[in-house]
Amino acid sequence: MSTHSNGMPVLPKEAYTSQEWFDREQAQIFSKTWSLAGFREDITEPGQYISVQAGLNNIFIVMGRDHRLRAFHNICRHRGTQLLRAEGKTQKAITCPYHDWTYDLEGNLISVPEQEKEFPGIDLSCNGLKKASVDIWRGMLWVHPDENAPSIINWFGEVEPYLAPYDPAGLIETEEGYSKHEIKANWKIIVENYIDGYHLAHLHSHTLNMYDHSKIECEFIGPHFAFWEPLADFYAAEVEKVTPMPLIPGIPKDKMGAWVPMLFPGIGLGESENSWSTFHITPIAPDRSMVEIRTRVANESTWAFTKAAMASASFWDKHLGAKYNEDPKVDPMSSGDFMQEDIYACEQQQKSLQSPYFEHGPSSKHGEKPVRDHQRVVAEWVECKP
Amino acid sequence: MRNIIYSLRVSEVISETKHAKTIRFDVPAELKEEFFWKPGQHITIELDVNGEKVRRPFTISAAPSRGKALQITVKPNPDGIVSKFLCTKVKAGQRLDVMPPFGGFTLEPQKDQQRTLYFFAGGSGITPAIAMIEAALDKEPRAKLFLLYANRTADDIIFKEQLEQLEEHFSSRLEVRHILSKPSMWSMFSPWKSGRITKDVTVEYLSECRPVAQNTQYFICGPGTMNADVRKALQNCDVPTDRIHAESFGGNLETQKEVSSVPALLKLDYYGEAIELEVAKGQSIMNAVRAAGLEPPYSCQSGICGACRAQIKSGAVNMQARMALEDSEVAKGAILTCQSYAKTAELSISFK
Ligand code: FES
Ligand code: FES
Ligand SMILES: [Fe+2]
Repeated sequence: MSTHSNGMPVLPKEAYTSQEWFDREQAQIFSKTWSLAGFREDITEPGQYISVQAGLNNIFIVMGRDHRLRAFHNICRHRGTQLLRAEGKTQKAITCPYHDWTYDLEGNLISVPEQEKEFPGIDLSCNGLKKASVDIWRGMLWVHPDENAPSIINWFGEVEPYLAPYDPAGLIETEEGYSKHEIKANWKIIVENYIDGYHLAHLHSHTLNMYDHSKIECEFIGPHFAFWEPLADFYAAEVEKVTPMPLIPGIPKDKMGAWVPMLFPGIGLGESENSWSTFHITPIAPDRSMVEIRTRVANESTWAFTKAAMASASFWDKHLGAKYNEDPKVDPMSSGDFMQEDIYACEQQQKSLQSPYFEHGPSSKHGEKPVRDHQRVVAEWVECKP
Repeated sequence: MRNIIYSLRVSEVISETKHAKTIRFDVPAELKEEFFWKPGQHITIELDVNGEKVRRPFTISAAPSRGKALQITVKPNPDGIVSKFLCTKVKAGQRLDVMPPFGGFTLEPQKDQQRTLYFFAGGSGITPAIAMIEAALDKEPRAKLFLLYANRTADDIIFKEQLEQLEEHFSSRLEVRHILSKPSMWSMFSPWKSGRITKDVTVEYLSECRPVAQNTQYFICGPGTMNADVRKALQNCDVPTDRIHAESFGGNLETQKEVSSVPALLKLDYYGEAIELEVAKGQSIMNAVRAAGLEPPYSCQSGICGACRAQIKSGAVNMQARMALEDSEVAKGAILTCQSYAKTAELSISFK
């Protein structure tokens, strides 16, 4: 394998195409880190639960009557049947559909049908559900498969100062800001696209030009990538007047811009002057990933949103557009939507990895440094170094 | 725990409410280390009452982190000789006999954790709570704190202004709610609720003050009945017992039930020294040890403070009250010697 002056590639091509790499990442990365499980408001009442796949583990989170969350591995201690599906509300107990073993909300096994006859002498207390960890950070629910996981603050504390200076928990979710995309690309290609500063001014020349890509400040803080860029001058000059949505309070004037960190592994945030979103990448196969996007905005009236949209419409007509001017229905490059542009680029890249003629090209000194750094982080984790 | 008495000078006496007083001490530089405390701990004061030495523990009512002097806040207890004396007779400049801080009902701030800390305080039970609250606000930057504070009337609220200031200064981290059992109709002060901290109130409180950080801890410090109610309510909502920490303050103690006992031979490991002595039927371990001429540490003599704690190595005891011990500690053999009576004819116990 030939390497270029900047040390590309750090990871071999197989890291993006082989099942073996995929399995190793599932075991070494996605099953050993804090996983995004949702937003705090997804569970608000005692008995309410959600279940999430975190790497190889299916974990459910349920709220107890003390309004504290508990997390358990979603595996019946009898023969392993999954106990709860998706989301819902239970009363005081969880009953396995297979043989009706029943657990309380603390995970204790409380009843076994035909106990005396079928399981004489069984000690119920040894067959409680296996515990996992759950916590809330920045308004989001997080789970970790290990009951004694290191505190979520150990994990995110260092990158926190590099995030937007407002509390996302104070914002409200919008339905329009929700989307889910199955992307035909390895999860790392999507991450690399997300943290690549070099492409912003090019692929998104007409869609993300409200930010000044020449003033990016970014670096890896441990396994997490921190990124900030200011508003473009033309926008900053009259941001209060032309922001398409009400501004989120709490951002100092000289910091107006976008914080776009990529938390490890594959959890992007888009924290801007007027919206806040999660960009959650879940690997499905070596060449397929799911991306779920949820968005929050300032807690303002519908009228405030209408007003901002109307007042800024003509301004943005002037400044935004599409990279190419083909039919947007068939050409994502003509959609005027940066997400379409990114998906297109990622899928094309994944396809080319199949070609025997594919070869890693030179990697840019500054803009693509994060790409190389991320590959190094992944390499360390699959080799279990951290 | 060491059993040494120091004479400390009272530097200041402050009236907190009509009855409650805060007494501050000068701790000379050479005793600073000896008198370093953890939030929630007490000191013991010994008085000479008509030729008899009487000891009582009092909770230190400030966090060690605030650069504040060692201080206790005392409410006169109708049948408490020591507390009455402290509230009415003590003046700045006077000296008092004080034993160094001790006690296991403490809060250790954890810098790199995020926790939700709940405090249920009744009357003078605010004393450990305020020390813990100050400490957590200063030393645990991510802690979110909820205080539910019960009193008779608004005039009985100790540290009312101080709590208001803290709440204002740490507005996103501390939330204080008051509950008054006899709110005055003329008072401008409007509490969250009138009444007492009962089971229902606890449940309602928890549903209104929800935790963000999921590592929750519950500190209960009030009269025995309040503590029992809050604990029951928390357990009814499935709060795991290892998250509940309680200490009794003032008012009705658990009624002292009679416990059975037998005469016993006691083998002591007394700070490394092996001693054998006899315990009579109906005699507490503490009294037997003192009758043998030893000076074991003790303070409240009612099972609250934990000063007399020891470890049982073999045999068994019956304990009368044991508020100062968590169930898990009892399971590991901790006993309060002032409350323990021999249950087996042979016993071995160690003091460390
Ligand atoms: S597998 Fe759950 S009860 Fe049998
Ligand atoms: S002396 Fe206080 S518990 Fe025994
Ligand atoms: Fe992009």
